[in-house]
Amino acid sequence: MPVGLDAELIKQSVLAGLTAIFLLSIFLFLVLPRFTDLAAAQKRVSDLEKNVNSLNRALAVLDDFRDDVSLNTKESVYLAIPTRFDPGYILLALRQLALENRVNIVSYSLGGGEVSKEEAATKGNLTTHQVRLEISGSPVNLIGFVDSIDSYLPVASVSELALSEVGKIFTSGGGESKLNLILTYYHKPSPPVPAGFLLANFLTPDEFSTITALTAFKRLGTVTPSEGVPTSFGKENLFGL
Amino acid sequence: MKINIIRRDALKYHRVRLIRRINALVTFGSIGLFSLAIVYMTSYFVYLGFRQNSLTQTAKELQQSYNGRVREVAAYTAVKEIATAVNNLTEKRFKYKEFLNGIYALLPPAAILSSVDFGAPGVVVAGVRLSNLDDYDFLVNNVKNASGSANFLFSAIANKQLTRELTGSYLVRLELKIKSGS
Repeated sequence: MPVGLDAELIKQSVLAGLTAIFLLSIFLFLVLPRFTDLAAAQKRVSDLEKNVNSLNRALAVLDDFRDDVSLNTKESVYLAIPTRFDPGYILLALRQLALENRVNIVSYSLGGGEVSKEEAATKGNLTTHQVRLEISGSPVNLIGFVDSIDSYLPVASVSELALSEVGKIFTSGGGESKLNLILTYYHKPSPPVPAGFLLANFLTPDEFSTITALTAFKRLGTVTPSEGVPTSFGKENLFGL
Repeated sequence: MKINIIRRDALKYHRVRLIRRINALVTFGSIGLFSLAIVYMTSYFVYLGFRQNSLTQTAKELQQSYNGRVREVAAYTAVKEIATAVNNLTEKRFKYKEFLNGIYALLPPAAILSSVDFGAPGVVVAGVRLSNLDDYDFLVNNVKNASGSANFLFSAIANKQLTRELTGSYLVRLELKIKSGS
């Protein structure tokens, strides 16, 4: 057994080694597992931060929406694709459009109330309704009518179009033509607002432009000067050329 | 024989000093590192705890504010969905007026476009009334010239029928194939 200085050194070395081993064991078995808890706490904080940021952004977007989109604009948007199909309103709108373009509605056929399966279908998340329309008037006014549909509320698409002359009147100076067209109107029942929807799906600049553009669309009740033009023949001003 | 006692003592002294230094390094190093890990962990836990509490409170307040504006959210959602739908419809809208203008550009000045039918997909059938055969030549010439243009909306035009009517006018039936991508 060493004595004196050597014994003291050995004792010191053993003590240092034991201390290191002891602390390393505590670190490995008690401290290190807690790092997992630390990572979990960090993830919770990170998720909370994301949630707070999303909520802040959503509220800011709602503020902008309230400030930038007027009640009138919202009305135009809701009217563009309404929540329910209203044949009476569509008919009145078509009558006004016909009046503005100086054409006559000869016949129309549209589903109303309980629409038949042939008339109502689903396109994406929209329910479509076909309206068959026959109008007469001068060719330029008929085309004006078709053109006006693109900027009239509710939004409609022309599915089929056929222009034809009415008997011999066309050649004898009357200038009457007949236009058969199928218009597709849409409606979209308002779905329940899914929780968290707004936190991810915001209006794009394109959609903002569309909303603004819809405000400029004409609708039933809009007072506009008559856009029809007197019957004319030849190529001078037909179709705006 | 001479033994260098001084040198041996010096060597031993150096060795002892080195071992002592190593011992001190191991002891204080392990204690230091351990303490550092404990301090770091504890302080980070405390920070995360405070931060979590603060964020939970903020999120709760914001959520309450958001829930209180449920009608605005519903309006926003509805407007967003309608705008998306209108955009999709506008993109797919068939440009009737452009095609009518395209057909009309082919006609001689005195011609009358008597009928247009967009019924068949990708094809437009147009009836043109002409007063004489010179106008017919004019129309055929216009079709030939326009077909070479890159901006022309139709890929092919066929003259399906030419009939002389009792009134003396001529009725031409044209079948125009819409260019893909138009």
